[in-house]
Amino acid sequence: MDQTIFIIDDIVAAPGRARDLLELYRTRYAPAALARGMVLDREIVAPPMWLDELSNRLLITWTVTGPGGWWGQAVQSRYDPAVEAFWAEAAPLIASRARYFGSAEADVEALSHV
Amino acid sequence: MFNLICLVSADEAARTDLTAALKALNGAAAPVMEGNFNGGDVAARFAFPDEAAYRAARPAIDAAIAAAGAVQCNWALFGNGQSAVDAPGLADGVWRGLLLCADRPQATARLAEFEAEMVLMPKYIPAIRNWRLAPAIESGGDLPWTHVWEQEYADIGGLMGPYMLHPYHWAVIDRWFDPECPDWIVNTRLCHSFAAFGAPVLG
Repeated sequence: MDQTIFIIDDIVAAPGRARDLLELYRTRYAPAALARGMVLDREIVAPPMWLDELSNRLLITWTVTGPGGWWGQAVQSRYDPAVEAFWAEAAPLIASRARYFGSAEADVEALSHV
Repeated sequence: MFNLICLVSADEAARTDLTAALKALNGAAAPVMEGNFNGGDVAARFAFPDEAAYRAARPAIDAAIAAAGAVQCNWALFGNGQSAVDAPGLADGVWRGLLLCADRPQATARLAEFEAEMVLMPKYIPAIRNWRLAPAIESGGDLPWTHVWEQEYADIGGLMGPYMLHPYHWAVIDRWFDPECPDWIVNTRLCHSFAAFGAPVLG
């Protein structure tokens, strides 16, 4: 199974802290994620300006190949204390967040009939 | 019904006798298969009609485990919980048991949602032929296990294939087990064990 799986971090930054959060994410999270086999797809900042009094939303999308790639990154991160420590360190910069896993619509049938 | 799962870690030389001893106590018992995670070396599963029968049987079970020089036993006592049987009498299948501990700070508030999503797994993953999800009544070992999630498959391929590969598992359910997800409630220390008992245990 070689479908592209998207791992999407949907993070609402604390008001005025989006730049700090993105910098922390890039320096403290992304290198290890790359080492776990995740490929950075894109970083979207919404709205496309830095807000001081309000929150920016960061949509950071990664890809892995198939459920095997998904489990590969998951098992590595789950037992790496540095990953949990990163999210704890980032918490003061975050108002709320969610993480989603998805695929292109064209891959839904193949992925869900295993 | 009271059910007991024991996942026993013991030296290789002791496992055959331990398996036989647990079977002699009316348990289903078998070596744990390769690929388990903290699943022990010998898995045993017992069913009792009531708590009194369990209390009466437990000392002999503990004695058999102690006689094997076991270095660890992760165990859980549980009731009927939620369950379904699609393949009654599945004698030649593979049993899989997961002992989990939902001990993260938000676990209590989210437990009903977690359990409701867990019991939908067989709907989306029909390779799960028989199953039970039950809260632990008592437990011991590495952690105070809070839940038992057990399934029977027609063969090991059902567990290694559809169960692991289906997106309902990794894109929906796993977020409860994933420290990277805000919904995380389950301790990352788990007992994932599977064995071929040669007898039906769930239906």
